[in-house]
Amino acid sequence: MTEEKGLKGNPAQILLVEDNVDHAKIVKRSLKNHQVSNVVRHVQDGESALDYLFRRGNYTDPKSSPRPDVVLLDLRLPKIDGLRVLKEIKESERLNRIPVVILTTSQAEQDKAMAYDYHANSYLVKPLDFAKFAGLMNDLGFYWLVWNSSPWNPDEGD
Amino acid sequence: MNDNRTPQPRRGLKTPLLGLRLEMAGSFSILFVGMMILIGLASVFGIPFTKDNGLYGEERSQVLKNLSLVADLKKDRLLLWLQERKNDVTALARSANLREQARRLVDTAHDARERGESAAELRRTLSGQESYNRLVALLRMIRNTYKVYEKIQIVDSETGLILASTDNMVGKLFLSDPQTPAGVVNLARESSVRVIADSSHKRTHLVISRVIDDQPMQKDGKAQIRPILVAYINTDSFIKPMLHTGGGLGESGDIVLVDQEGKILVDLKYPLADGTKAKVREYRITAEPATLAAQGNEGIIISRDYRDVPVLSAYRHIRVTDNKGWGMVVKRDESEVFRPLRRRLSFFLLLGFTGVLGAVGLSVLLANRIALPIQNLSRTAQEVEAGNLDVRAPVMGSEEVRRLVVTFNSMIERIRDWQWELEKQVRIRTTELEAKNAELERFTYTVSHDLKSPLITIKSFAGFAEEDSAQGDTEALADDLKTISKAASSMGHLLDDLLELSRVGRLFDSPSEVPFGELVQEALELLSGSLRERGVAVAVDPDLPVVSVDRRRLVEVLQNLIENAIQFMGDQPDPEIEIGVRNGSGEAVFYVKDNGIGIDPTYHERIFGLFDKLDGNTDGTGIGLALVKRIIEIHNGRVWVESDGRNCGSSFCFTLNSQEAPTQS
Repeated sequence: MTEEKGLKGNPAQILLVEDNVDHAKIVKRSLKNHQVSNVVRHVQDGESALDYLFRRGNYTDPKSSPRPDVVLLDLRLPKIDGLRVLKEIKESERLNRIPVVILTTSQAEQDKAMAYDYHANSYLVKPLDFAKFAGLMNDLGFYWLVWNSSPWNPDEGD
Repeated sequence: MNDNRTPQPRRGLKTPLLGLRLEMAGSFSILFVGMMILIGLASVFGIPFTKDNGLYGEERSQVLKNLSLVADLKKDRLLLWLQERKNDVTALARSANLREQARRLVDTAHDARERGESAAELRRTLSGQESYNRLVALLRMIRNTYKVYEKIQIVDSETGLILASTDNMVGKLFLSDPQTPAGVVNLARESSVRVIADSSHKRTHLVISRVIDDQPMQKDGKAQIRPILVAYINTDSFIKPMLHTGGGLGESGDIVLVDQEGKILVDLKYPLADGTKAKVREYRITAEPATLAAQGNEGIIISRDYRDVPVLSAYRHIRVTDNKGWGMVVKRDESEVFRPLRRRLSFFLLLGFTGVLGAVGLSVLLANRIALPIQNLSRTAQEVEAGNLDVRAPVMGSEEVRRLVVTFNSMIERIRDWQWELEKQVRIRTTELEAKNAELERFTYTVSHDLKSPLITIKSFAGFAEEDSAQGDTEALADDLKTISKAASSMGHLLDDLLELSRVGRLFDSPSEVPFGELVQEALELLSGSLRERGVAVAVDPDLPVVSVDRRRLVEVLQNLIENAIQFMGDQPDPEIEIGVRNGSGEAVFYVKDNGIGIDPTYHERIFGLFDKLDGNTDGTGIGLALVKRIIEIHNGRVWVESDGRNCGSSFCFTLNSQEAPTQS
C-alpha cells in the first residue's frame, strides 16, 4: 500500500522536526529530487511538532496537518525536547505506529539509549559529508517510504 | 577473620578475664606461699650461718638440759640415799652390842657345825639361847624402826649359812644368785651393794652387806668365822619411786638403771621391741645411752633406746661402791618432745594454706575489680576497631580506670563526629563532583552537537552550490553561499561565547565595593544603540545599594539580561525595561523587568541551560543566560525568572552574596 501510494502520485507525508533552518533546507532539497513523491512538512520546535501530530493550536485542521507516514525528529529542540516528543508519540495509541526516525548530530551514547528506550524506529546521525548526507536521504526515503511496510492506521480513511 | 579479633559476646569473655585473674592470683599466691615457707623454715630450723637455731634446735637443747638436770638430781639423790643406807648398815655392824651377839652366834654355829647338826637342829639350838633371841629381837626392832629394810640377816661368810634373820630363813644358805644355787656368794670383806632377784624374777631386792667384825676370829686355830650383816631393801618400794620422773619429763619421760654389765636393775617402763617384758637382772640393754652410762660415762645423747625408738637422753654413772657403778639413763621420746613443735608446724601450715586460699580469693576479687573494666574497655575497643562507633565502654572500676574509660568514650565520640563530618563532606563533594561531571558531559555533547550543526550546513550547502553552479542557477548559488557564510559566522559566535563562558570560572577579579547604579549605567551605555533602535524606555531605581562584586562580570550579567529583554520584546508597541531592587525574605533581590513576550512557566528552568533556546529563529547562541547563571553563582547568588506566561512580560531576578550556600543545581 505504502509502495503503491508513493508510486501512484499520492505523495507520502513526511513530518520534519528540525530547529536548524539550514538543516531543514538540506533535508527538504535532498528529498525533493527523490523518485518517491513526498511532501515535507517542517516544524521548528517540539511544541509545534506535538501540536501538529495531536492537531491542536495552529494545526487543528486535518487538511493542513495530514498524518505523516514517517517523522524525522531532531533531538535538541527548543521548548520541548526531541526525546520528550518521541515519548509522547509512542505513548499515544493513535500515533505510536508512525515510524519515528531520529535524525540528529548527537552521537552521545545516552541519547541513543534513551531514543531506543522510548521506542524510536531508527537512529541516524547526520553525516558531515554532503555526498553522504544526500545518499542517506535517498536511502532513508526509499527505505521508509517504499520498502518499509506499515500497518493500517485509523487516519487512512480520511 | 582471626577469632581473637572478633568482638566476643559476653560469654566469650571468660577466657581472657580468667587469664589475667589467674596471672595476678598466681603471682600473689606464689609470693605469699614463698614468704610463708621461708618464715616457717627459719622459725623452725633456724637461720643458716647465724646463731639462731630455730624452734627445733631450741626445743632440743632445752629438753636435753632438762634431762641433764633431772639426771643430776636423781643421781645425787640416789647416791645420797645409798650412802645413808650404807651408813645405816655400817653403824649397825659396828655397834658393840651387835658385834658381841654376833660373835656368840658364830661360836654357837661353829660348834653346831662341828657337831654336824642340820639346819633344823641348829635353829633349835640357837632358839634355845637367850643371846640369839635378843639378837633377833634387835634386828626386828631395827627393821621396824627404819621401815626401809624388808629383812635383816646375819650370814656366816665362810659357809653362807644364815645365822640370824628377821624372818625364818635361819640355817639356809645365802645365795647371791638364786639361778645358780651352788654359788654361795663370796661376801665381800668390805661392804657391798648388789641387786638380787628371786628365782621367779618377780621381786628384786637391793642388798647391802657389811662385815660385822673386822677381826677374824680364831677358834682352836681353825677356821675363821666372819659374820656379815645383810639388809634387804625392796626395789619396787624404794628404788622405783625414787626413779619416778613425775610429770616433769612428759609422758614418755623414763629413767633406766643398769648395772655395769648393762643388765637392768629395775623394771622397764615399756615392753621391748618384740613386745616381751624384760626381766630384771637378766635383760641386758645394748642401746647406746645405757651402755655408755654403764661404762662410766656421763653426758647427753640423741639416739635410739632399748625399744629402738629415737630418744633424747642424759646418761649418768652412779658409783655405788669403790669398784662398782651403775648406769642411769634419763630419757624422753623424741616424738613427744617435738610433738608440740610438730603440732605448731602443722597448725602453721594449715594457717598458711588458709592464707593462700584467702590470698587467691582476694587477688581474684581484686583482679575482677581491675580486670573487668579493662576487659570491657578492650571489648569496646575491638568493636570500635571492627567499625562500630556507637558502642561505649561502661564507666566502672577505680578512679584511674574510670578516667581512662571516660577519655576513651569521648575519644570514640570524637572519632564518630569526625567520621560523620568526613562522610558528610565526602557526600557533598561527591554530589558536587557528580553534578560537575554531568554538567561537563552535557557540555561536551552540547558543544559537539552545536559545533557540528554549522559544519553540516556548510558542507551540505557547499554541495548544493556545486550542483547549482553546474546547472547555472546563479540565484540559488548566491543563496547557498549566503547560508554558508551565515553558518560560518554563527560558528564563530559560538566559539567566542564558549571561550567567554570558560573564562568566567577562571578569570575573576577580586570583588570591590561598587554602587549597583553605576553598573547599570555602564551596561545601558553599552547597549544604548540597540535600546534606541527598538525605542525601549528604561526606568532605573534611584535608590540602589552598594555591592561587593567583580565589576566587569556584573556589567556582563546586566548587559546580557537587558539584551535578552530587548530581544524578546516581540510586537510590544511600548517596550519598557525596569531595573531595580526589592527586599525578598531578608536579602536584596535585583531584577530586570520587561513587558515583552514573557516565558511559559514550563521553560523557566531550561532557559538557563547551555545552548537552550526557546526559539530556533533567534540569533542568540544559547549561551547568554548560562553565562549569567555562572557569574551569579560565582557571587554566591541565585538567578531565576518570574513570568506569568506568554505576553505577560518577564522579570529576571538575582541575589548576590547570599548568606546561605548556593543551591547546587
